[in-house]
Amino acid sequence: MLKINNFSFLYPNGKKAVSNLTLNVEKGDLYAFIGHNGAGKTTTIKSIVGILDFTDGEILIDGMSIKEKALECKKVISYLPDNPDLYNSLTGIQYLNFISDVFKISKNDRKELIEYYANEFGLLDSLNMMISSYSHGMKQKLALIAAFIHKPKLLIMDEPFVGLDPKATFIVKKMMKEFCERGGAIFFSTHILEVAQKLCNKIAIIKEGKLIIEGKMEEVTKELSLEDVFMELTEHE
Amino acid sequence: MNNILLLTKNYFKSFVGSLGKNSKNPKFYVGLLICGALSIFITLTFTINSITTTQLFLEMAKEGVENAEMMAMYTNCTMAIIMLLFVTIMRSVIPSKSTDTDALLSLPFTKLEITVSKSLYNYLVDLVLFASILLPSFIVYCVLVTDASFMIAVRGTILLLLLPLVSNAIATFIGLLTNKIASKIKHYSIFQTIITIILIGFYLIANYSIQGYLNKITGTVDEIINKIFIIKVLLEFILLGKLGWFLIIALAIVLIYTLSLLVLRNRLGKLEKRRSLNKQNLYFKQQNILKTLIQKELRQYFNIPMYILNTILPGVIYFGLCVAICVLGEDRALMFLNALPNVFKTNSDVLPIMLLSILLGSFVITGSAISLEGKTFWITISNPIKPIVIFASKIITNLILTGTIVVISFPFVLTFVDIEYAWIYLIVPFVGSVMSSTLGLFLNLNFPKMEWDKEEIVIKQSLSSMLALFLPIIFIIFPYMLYFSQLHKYYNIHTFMIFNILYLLVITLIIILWFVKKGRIALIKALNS
Repeated sequence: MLKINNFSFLYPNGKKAVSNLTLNVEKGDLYAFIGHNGAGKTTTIKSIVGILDFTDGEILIDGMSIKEKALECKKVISYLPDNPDLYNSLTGIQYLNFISDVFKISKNDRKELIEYYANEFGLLDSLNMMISSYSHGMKQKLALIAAFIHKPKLLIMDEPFVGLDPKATFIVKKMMKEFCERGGAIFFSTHILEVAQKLCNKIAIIKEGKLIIEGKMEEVTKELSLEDVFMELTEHE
Repeated sequence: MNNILLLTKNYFKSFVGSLGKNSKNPKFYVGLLICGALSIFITLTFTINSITTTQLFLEMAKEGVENAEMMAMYTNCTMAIIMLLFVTIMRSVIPSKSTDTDALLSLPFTKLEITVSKSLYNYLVDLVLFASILLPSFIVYCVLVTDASFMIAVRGTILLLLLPLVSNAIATFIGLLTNKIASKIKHYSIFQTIITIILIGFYLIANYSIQGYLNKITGTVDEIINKIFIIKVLLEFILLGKLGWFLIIALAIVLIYTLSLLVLRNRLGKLEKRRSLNKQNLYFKQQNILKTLIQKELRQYFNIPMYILNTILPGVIYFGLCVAICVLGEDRALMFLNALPNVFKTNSDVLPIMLLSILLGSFVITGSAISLEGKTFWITISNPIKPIVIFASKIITNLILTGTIVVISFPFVLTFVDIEYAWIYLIVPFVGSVMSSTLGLFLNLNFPKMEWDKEEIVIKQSLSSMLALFLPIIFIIFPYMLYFSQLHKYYNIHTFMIFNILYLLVITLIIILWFVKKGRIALIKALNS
């Protein structure tokens, strides 16, 4: 579903943000992308979804290159940024209608999906409010609904649990599991290692732009906790 | 006191910093250069205007008109009042709550320090504006008028120091009042927008009425001066040093200003009540992506009063001018054109259309349309939307606004234009607007400013919005200059206008080709700038 081959990214000042990253996300994978602040996670994620242009390496989504077939790739993915800045001049429902129009979701389908997800997140009563009046958590929930409503094949999420209340976190985890069980794939970054260990079947750890370990969760952690593995790898590598 | 100065200094630093990311970036210097050049241009223009006016009245004095030189100072005082009205209106429509207030309240500053520093910053900005326009005229008076004391310039400066207090105090009260009313209204931002348009309209009507009233006053110099109380008080203070009424007015101004500061201080940190919208039915509708993007752009435009304030004025003047020509006739409504050289007057049929084209071409909202996306740009970039559709939505939004103005003004145009010229009034300004909005977007893509915390920074202070204000006008004026200098001898208006339309369309086409070829890369570059 997502193939990253020898991907490197240079900042304009010449500093290397990511170096020769290679990883593979299959259908049904719930893939955690872990690393320190500034390790290159967001840069990688932004390159995957076509926000950043890169020169070295290749990123394939559902077999298509994001560089050559950007629009086709974007049709099958959903992206949730680390800080969901949304259009403040729209109401929640206007934003969801906007995203539905982008993906040509019919009136009946969008009604059903929006009402379902908004109800799950307890956001239904707030959808007619201006986004400018939303709290961080409400914006995060709205962005999550927007990410799910067009039924993507691949979900790319940057810190999806930041700002969510415990109930919403529980719902998101449930939705992520169900999404992957239905054949979708999720690639997400997080700093909450306990969640990553319990939720994911695959993991990649990145340090200073370089991949230091990648593979199935149980093979990476063995008998240890992910926290112990992460500390050991990032301290000694 | 140190904290007040520190915060005020910080506001100025933020303003300068908003011109470019850092002082190592060449764009920062281009921004500074444009700001400096603009200030010099404004000051020079008003200085030259002041010299011309003063010399005119001195000539009249030589011809025996008693106290004619006083009329030069009379002109300065009326200009001060009109400027005061303008600055007050502009201040009133700027939202009173700053985005930095919460951050400042969490730091060890008193509420009074925060209020005073922001107010001091606004005061100093207004003072620079008043001084750059009015101070040269006081100095010119002292230099040109024989026996004029240097104290006249000093007293003029005292008046200048008082004017920003008035504009800031009145604007504070108007702002608080509109906020209070808006909080009870369903669509808060749209109400703010309507208030903005009403206030701008009020200014234009008030300005026109004041000028009209002043022009109607006849009689001896003494009779003219004594006609309006406030001007009489100002003149007696500046020219003769009479304190009396001036002192009372000055004290009242200081008191009202202090009161406005105290009111602002008391409101700091208090939550504003807003009418809740959450008990309504949800509305679902499927539509074309271009249409949905245009709707988003229009909603954004009408939800940011600052955006409207800085762009709509030419459109309002366009409509106002058409109505004025319809009601008053071309001679009276376009009286100011009398000062132009003869070649313009002999081809006066082209002048109104040039004027209207310039006005509509200055109504450019695309100059900051990309920058305004700011941190939300990930939405359009990460979703399957073609860049050209994004560009089209921004240009079409601009054209919907300008097109509406052309259409609603057209019935008035038909009253003063022969039917054979009507097509020109309908098409030429609009084609100019197509070019200017396309050029505005091109400029914004090349000089984007994606990181900002207040819309004001991209709408008012960014390089692209400044360039988008002037460059289209230069392109629009160019063929008219050719017409007035040479082409009028060879071509009639119809032929010239067809060439003009083709010229504007060619510029537009070149930019559109650039969008098609390099737009996507420019968009991604802009996003990551």
